[in-house]
Amino acid sequence: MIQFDNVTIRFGERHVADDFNLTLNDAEFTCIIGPSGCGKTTLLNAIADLQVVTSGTINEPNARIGYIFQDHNIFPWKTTRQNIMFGLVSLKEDYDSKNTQVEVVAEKLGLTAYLDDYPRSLSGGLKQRVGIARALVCSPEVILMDEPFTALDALTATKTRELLKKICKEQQVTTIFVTHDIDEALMLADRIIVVSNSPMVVVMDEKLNQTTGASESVTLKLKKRIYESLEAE
Amino acid sequence: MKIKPLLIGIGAFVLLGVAWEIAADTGVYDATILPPPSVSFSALIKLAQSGTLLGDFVASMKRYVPGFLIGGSLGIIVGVASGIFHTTRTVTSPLFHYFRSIPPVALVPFSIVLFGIGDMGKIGLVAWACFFPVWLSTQLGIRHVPSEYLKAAAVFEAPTLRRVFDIWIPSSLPYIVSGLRIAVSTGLFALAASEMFAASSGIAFRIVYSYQLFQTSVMVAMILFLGFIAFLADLLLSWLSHFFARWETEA
Repeated sequence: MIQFDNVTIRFGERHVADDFNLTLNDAEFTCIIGPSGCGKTTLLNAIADLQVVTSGTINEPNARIGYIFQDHNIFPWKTTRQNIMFGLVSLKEDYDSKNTQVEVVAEKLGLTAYLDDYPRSLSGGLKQRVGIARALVCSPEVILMDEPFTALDALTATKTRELLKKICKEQQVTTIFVTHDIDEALMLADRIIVVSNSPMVVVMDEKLNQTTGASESVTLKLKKRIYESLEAE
Repeated sequence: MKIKPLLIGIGAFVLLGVAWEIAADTGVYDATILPPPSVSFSALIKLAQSGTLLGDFVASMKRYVPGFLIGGSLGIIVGVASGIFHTTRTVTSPLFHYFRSIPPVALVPFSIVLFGIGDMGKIGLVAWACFFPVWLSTQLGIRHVPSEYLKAAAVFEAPTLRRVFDIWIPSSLPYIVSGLRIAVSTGLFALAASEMFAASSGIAFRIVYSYQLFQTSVMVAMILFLGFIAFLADLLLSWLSHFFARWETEA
């Protein structure tokens, strides 16, 4: 469980969050939707310890965290294998053991044929998959995703999205997915949180049942409500 | 390198040589002061046959190569440190910017006072001249490492040394190579200056010696030979940079 207790984040005069409270449950796929620049990425960075909070606390178990970036952020000077292995950089294991883990995750993501290729020769979709593999290789308990499919074409995004959802479900990973795409959130999330702009406040918190699914009319109604909450801001 | 640009490049040399030769032969200028390429080339052959050319080349390289390696390595090490650590940068930048503006040739008498007329002072001077461009470029490269790579390293909790070798250095490689390529020239400049003052062998020594004897053909031959060494060293560095940055071209 990840818990934000009265978290305040300020950049000079700009208040990203003021006494922000939120609890994210284990093994849940949570989508956070909000307008551009409202501080969604800052929230993820705070969970990953990349952003210092001005006050308040973020209670999180000492969990292994995987981060999937918007622009994959894979290193152009490393092959697919080396890039994925970088996800294990902090672990004191020998090369063979790390390589085995790399090959397992590469197979899951359909990257086996590209293991010795440099990113230069990979398509946008494959590069993003390498970024996903790098985040998954350390078997994270928490995965943070910052609009990872924005740069991909629709078909590749759909395929990668389904693959990722399947893996997250299988491994019971706590997933926090930041997006501004409502349809994407409805497709993936167990829970949708809509946040407002400066300072950030939760304006809608809705649970979804992805196993049984919802009827088209229910989904449409929910979509309309999300639109309305975003427009109200 | 592609064939067409290579041929054009060689063509430019040939064209210059032919124009020079014609100008000398037709008396456009006094050929005793600036001998044509054919005369300079035959002087170079004679120097090679007598073993003087090899002797001078070896003597110069014994000073240049260690100087370049010491200056270049120190430049990379200090450049990485001053690029990463703000305090190191604050302390070193004013000092190094001051010292790098002093022409190495002005330091030749001081190096003789300090190290004598042996090779030590010359190696030191070459290292000094090579250090600054490499330090400056490396520091610039480190400062320009995209923040998203550093963010990825922080998320995966990469130890500092791994960040240096896995991220900072590879990402700055084009800057480091630029610095090294500039150092090829600045190092040769320092070498020439030091050999002209206090040496009994070396390429630049031979240039001054032939000047004193008014052997202009030898003088021109050695000047062109010095340029050829710089050209080859730059070519070697360019090849090495392509080898180390093969991820930029290799599919």
